[in-house]
Amino acid sequence: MTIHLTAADYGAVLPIMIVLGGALCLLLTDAFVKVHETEIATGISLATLLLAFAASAHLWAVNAGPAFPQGAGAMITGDRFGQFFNFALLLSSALAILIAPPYIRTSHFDAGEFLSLILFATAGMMLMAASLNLMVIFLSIELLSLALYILSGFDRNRPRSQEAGFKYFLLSSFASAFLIYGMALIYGATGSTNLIRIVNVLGGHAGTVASTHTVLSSPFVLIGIALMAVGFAFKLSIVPFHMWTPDVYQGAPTPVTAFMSVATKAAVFPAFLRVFNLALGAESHRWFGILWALAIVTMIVGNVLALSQSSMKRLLAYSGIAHAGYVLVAMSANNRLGATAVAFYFIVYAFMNIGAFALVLVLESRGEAGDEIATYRGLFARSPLLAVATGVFMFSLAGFPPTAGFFAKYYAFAAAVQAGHTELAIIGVITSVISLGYYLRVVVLMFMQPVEAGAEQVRAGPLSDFMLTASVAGLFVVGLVPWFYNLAVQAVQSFFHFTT
Amino acid sequence: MLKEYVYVLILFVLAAGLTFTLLGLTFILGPRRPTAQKLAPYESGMRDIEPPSRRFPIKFYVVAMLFLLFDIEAISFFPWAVVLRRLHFFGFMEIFVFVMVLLVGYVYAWQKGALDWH
Amino acid sequence: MPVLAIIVFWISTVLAVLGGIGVVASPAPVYSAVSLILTLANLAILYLLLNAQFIAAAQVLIYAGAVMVLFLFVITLLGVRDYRLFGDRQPLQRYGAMLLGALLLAGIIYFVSKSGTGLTGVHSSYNAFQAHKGNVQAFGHELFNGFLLPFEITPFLLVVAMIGAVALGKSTQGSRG
Repeated sequence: MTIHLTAADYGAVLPIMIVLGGALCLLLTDAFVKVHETEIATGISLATLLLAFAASAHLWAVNAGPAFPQGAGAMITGDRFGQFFNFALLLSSALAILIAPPYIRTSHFDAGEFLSLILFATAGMMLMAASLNLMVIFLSIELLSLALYILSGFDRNRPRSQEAGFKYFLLSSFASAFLIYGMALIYGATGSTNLIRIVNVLGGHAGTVASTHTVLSSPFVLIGIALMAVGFAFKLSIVPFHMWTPDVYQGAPTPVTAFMSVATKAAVFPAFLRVFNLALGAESHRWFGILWALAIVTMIVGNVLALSQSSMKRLLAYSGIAHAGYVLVAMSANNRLGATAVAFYFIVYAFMNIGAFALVLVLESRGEAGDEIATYRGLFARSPLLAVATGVFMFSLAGFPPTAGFFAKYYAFAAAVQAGHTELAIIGVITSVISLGYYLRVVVLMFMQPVEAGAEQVRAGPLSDFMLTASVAGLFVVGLVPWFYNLAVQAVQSFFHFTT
Repeated sequence: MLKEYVYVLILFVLAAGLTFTLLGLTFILGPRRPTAQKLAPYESGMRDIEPPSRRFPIKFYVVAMLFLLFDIEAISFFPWAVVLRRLHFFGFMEIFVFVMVLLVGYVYAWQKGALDWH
Repeated sequence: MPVLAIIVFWISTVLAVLGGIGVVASPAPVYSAVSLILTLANLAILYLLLNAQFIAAAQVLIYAGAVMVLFLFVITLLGVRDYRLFGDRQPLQRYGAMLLGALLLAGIIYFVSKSGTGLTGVHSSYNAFQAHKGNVQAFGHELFNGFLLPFEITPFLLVVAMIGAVALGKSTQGSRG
């Protein structure tokens, strides 16, 4: 067997190769360019993301199957499901880079270094969303995590950032150990790291009746499932593996927090889906209980703890935990609608969460106190545009119609109901009501409280203004135009397609 | 198949045996007349108040890290070299991409002054 | 498996596990590092038993050699005065962790003993190649054919680690330049 790569193989990795190439260019920029480094580096990274987006869109049109090499031993897939998450990842990466330049300047970062790490992380995430092999999943999770550890601790003059980087590194490597241990056991039980081969060994796939293949009696599949669930749950900050989230989100440089809060989840969830709903689809009776319990605890703990936060970043961290719980509800439904809901969620989540962090960034540029929720008092009088944008993000995060946040949540809970798990949907709705407590608190502070005497006007930069307007518009368009949801439906068709 | 490793085992036994024999011999045969001064870390000089706790320049660690990364690069050449003949030109390209990526990293580290000592 | 191999397997397994316990139980970081060397060296022997000579050699050269030298280097030069680094600030947590770990171990042992291992074994093409060409060739063949993509991803991982070392390790004055 000698490898024969076809044009389709290269096509499947092209978006990832573009992003990796752009990251290398940024490294060279950092090494050689001395003037206007921030502007040049930002330009290169945005151009790279645009190119990768084009390549990804082309792949979507082609709807390629398993690749590199093609066939059963494939490492990754160029299917629409992967491309859909690529769109979400490239979008969140671009949004984060749009808000980064002022932060880079005020913190005296080396722009090339900083942005190249964001691109390396993005490439790792895209690889993860497309991977069809446990080995590639592990490598890509390491690539994205390693870049994020460094980014979290990048602001070496702030002890909080150092703490964030160090904490994230230690805990996350520990979680990686769980993940690879689980993968090793699955490999031992099935004889392959390739997801398609694992499906063939274990029998059946998502949506079908659970098979009773004899290999199911193997305890290694069971232990492997449990250990891999721990590894994935940590990266997704699912309770009880969420402890690191508030500290890391608070300490990391804000553009990094904005990026990782969305993109990490948008990368890990597709891989999680591919491993659990696809490769271990026939084993769903074994892992459903785990995900069911995790989803309930995550929704409750995330929303309740968010109520008592006084720091906006910590509030958003707990809100992110809660949202991971909602997505987990959709995933544990283990049906077509569930997978569609997961995919749709991340397009919406990219707009609303990165938008919310962009506002934190604008206010934070006025000192550490900008992170306090009290700073939002009377924001409407100081800056109507920012206040209205924040309002939209908060309403969308809380799940009010007609924002896209409502539709994202609706599909997630509908999937659970369709799968016959109404209790998950009910708990989801109840915890969403709890979440109004903290989202609306911010809105009330902004619109209904008087401005403190002497408070100045707040202005964002042109790039941030553009990014905020785009996000607000995106939240309405994605929610109200059915085209986006249909895109997710098409993506999921390819997800279930190639197992047959 | 384990019999092939008997030679390795013999080597280990010889090495360990030699070490213990030499250490043992000096222990038994060497004269030892310890005094408090002889046992001090610095026989002549200032008395130490507490063990030194200097902070070492981070340069050491950076160099050690870079060494480690290139060590991993180097070991990747071994399996490549033994199958190069059957991989033909494509095999050459495989390692070429690998090395070029690391070369960019090397140029970057060099330009950033990570290899300069001062 | 021949009797000799079984004996070697059990000796190195027990030593590897003891080394692992030593890593977490040692009072001083230096002892932990030395215990880790014991574990890694014994893992190399296990790789040899699996007929994976190249991995065993890489294990000794990279892990037991270079990585552990770096670990020891950091530990000794950092001059950790208070060896009981983490103290017993939360003894409950420690005992809780031990209890949960023991439960997990007991669970694994119970399930494995109840239903057998059910391991399927390694990649068939690898075995076929190894049988008549030797281990390094078999490894190289797999790495540069089926596993080409993971192989080409690793240099990027190394470059990211390099950025980390340079960006976080450079002197503060330099970063302003």
